[in-house]
Amino acid sequence: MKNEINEMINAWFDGELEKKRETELFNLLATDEEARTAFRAMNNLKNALSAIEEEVPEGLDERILRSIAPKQQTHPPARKWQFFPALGYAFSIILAIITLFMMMEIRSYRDGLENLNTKVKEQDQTIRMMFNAYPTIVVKPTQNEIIQ
Amino acid sequence: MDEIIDFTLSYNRYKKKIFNFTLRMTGDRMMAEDIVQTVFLRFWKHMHEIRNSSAVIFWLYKAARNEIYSQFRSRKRYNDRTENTDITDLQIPGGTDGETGFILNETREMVLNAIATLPEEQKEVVLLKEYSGLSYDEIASICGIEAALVKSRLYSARQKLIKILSKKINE
Repeated sequence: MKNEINEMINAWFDGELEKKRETELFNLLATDEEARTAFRAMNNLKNALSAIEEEVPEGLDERILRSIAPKQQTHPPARKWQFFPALGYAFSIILAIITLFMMMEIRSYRDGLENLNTKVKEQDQTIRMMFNAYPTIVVKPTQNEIIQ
Repeated sequence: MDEIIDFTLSYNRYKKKIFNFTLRMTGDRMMAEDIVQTVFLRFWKHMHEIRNSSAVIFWLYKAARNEIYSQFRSRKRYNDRTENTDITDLQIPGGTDGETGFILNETREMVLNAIATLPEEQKEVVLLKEYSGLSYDEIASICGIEAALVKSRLYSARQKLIKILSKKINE
């Protein structure tokens, strides 16, 4: 029984006691002197252990924080990201060259198309002129001829 | 720049806990300072690998524990240190002079001596619980043991400490 009480007290101080068992513990503490003694002892131990806690020496703070500074200079965290902008710039330049090339190609194709169109128009005009230059032909049927 | 800010935040948050855990485990101030420095410098190097901020405390305690045991192994001083806990240069918080200071010093000495009598496996769970506030499962994961074992070690260690300290107070 004593062990069980102690275990419950330990678990309560550690924040590991189930809620439903908390009531059981508090009832025990209210009625059982032995449980109260164990609870007080545990509380005193927790206080004693927290009383021996110490602050970190200032010299150690300085040593640690100074030690990380050279890494910042020799291996700047931005370094890993520097690779990506370089890649980005290279990619942009390649894209610009390709775009320029494509624009030039399109322009020359358009010029070629316009020349062709002009030539077709000229030829069309020549053909019309040639047609207009011929005398008009009148087709007359003879008397015995049957035109179907 | 962000890395330095993250590091400083984590450092300020956990330095006291790690330092006290290490100091009480080793009982040697110089060794504790070296270990804390090594742990935080290692943390600085591996910070980017720790994705979850809640995993930082695990990482730090695990690293501190590994470093403590590796120091024990390499220096072969563990037994000497646990038997002669470095309590001579303990600092009493400011304003504790005269009788109050003496009582505090006495209590400290008693508690430190009581801790020093614990076997290392019990000592580490007590210190981890007191200074980290981690759950049984989390301590189990740091020590590589079952949570039930953490609970039983903690229980035994505390009972032992209560027994030693109550005996000393009654003397």
